[in-house]
Amino acid sequence: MTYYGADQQTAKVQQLAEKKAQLQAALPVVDDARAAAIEARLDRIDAALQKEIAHAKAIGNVAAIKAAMGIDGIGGLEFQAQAPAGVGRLVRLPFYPIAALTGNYEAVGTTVPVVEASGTAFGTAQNASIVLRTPQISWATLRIVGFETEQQCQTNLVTAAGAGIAPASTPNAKLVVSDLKIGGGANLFTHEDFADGQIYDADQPEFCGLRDYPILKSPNVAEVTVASLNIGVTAVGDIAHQFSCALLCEVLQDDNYGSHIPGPYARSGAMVRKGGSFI
Amino acid sequence: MSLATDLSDGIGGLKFVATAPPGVGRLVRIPFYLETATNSFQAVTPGAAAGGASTTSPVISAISEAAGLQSDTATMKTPQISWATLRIVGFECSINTADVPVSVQPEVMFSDLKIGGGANLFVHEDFASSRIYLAGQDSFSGLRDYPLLKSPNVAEVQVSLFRQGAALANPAAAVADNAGGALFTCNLVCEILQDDNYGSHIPGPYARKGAMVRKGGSFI
Repeated sequence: MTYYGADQQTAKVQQLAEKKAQLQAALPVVDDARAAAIEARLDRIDAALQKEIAHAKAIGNVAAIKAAMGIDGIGGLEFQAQAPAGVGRLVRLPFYPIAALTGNYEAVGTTVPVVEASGTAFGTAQNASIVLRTPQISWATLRIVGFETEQQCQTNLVTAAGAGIAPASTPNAKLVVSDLKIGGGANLFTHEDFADGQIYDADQPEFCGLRDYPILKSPNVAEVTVASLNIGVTAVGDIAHQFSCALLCEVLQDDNYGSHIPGPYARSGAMVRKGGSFI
Repeated sequence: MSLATDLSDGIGGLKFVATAPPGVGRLVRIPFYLETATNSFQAVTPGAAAGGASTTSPVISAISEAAGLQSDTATMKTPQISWATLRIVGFECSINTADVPVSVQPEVMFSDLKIGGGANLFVHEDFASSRIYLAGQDSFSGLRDYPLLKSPNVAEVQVSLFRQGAALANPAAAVADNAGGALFTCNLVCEILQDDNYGSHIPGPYARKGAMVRKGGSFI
């Protein structure tokens, strides 16, 4: 049974819901004074909607009200879909070798970010560390919000004479990282020495934190020290370890594409801090 | 039913979620290092031959030296963090084994995670499989408490290896030995509450006062 006034109520709720969506969309891009006014207006709309919902229950108009608010058929569940981060958010800036690599490391010049490392032989010194660096980004101002590694490894299998592959291979190599810094700045990692590159692996379900989210602006560049470690092999080349590293950034200002709004984790409200020698 | 969540959020019945960085000083990792090597646990350090202890490289070569099921036990420690006050919120490890091992892959086991001389933070009093705490899981495994870590205190954890072992050499001298071992690292997951260089931060909601209400108990 539908009572008198149900259609009018539905139209009113639809108007309120549309206005609320418009105000919420505007909220991130207005100044503080305007934001306060919008929040006050949103509170009034919420109160009005609450009143209409109570009234809808009394007159048996709940289904129409839910449809008017765009949540018809939600069925008590919230649906979430993994989404792109948004314009200029969570962009990756690769690290490149800064010079020709030596030892067991190999790379293709200074424009390809992938480095290959071979395993070292039993009893000999492990691969020494190398430094990778991001290029100068003259066309944008970036905020660093993370660090990421990607690696693939394969160990050669022992070939049994006349019997194909025998079950014996060494554990895959490990990438270790240390001393991520911008220009001559302080270390952004919490570990002063080497840590497992897996912490920052691109396949991890969540990102690992850093000590700070500094600005990266040309001519400053970021650099990181890395090394490939293995348990020891019978012959150099028995372990093939390919890896690359990238800086996770937000584009704050782009000379070609304009200024962007960073993600909520990189806005001033999320980076409140007090004291500290770098403040 | 809340107006905010049920009737006005996510118009169209969908919420779009992008995985985000955790924020400044949140979910940082502090590696454990092997300060004292044992027969079964030896460090692998850049630029040096594998073997012995290391306070700079967290990568450990583990092979069961004993003919039996369990190796000896080693203690791994975090360094003293003099520049920050941290809150421990988790424990994590990463393990590489052979693509084609000579037998079942060895199992790294952990027990007795503690801060200074504190009580065990694991719920298991004895060893548990490292796979509980493996990095890359969809969720973090819980701990009994989220204590503060402040210098000169350090965290330490006991580690051992389960494998149908033969007497092998570590660092290994043969492919067959290596194929029965593992390269692993372990880390504390922490929130930085106060950093001498970068200031004080707001911890994640899981590590705020309101999320850690507790009543009774001798450690209150």
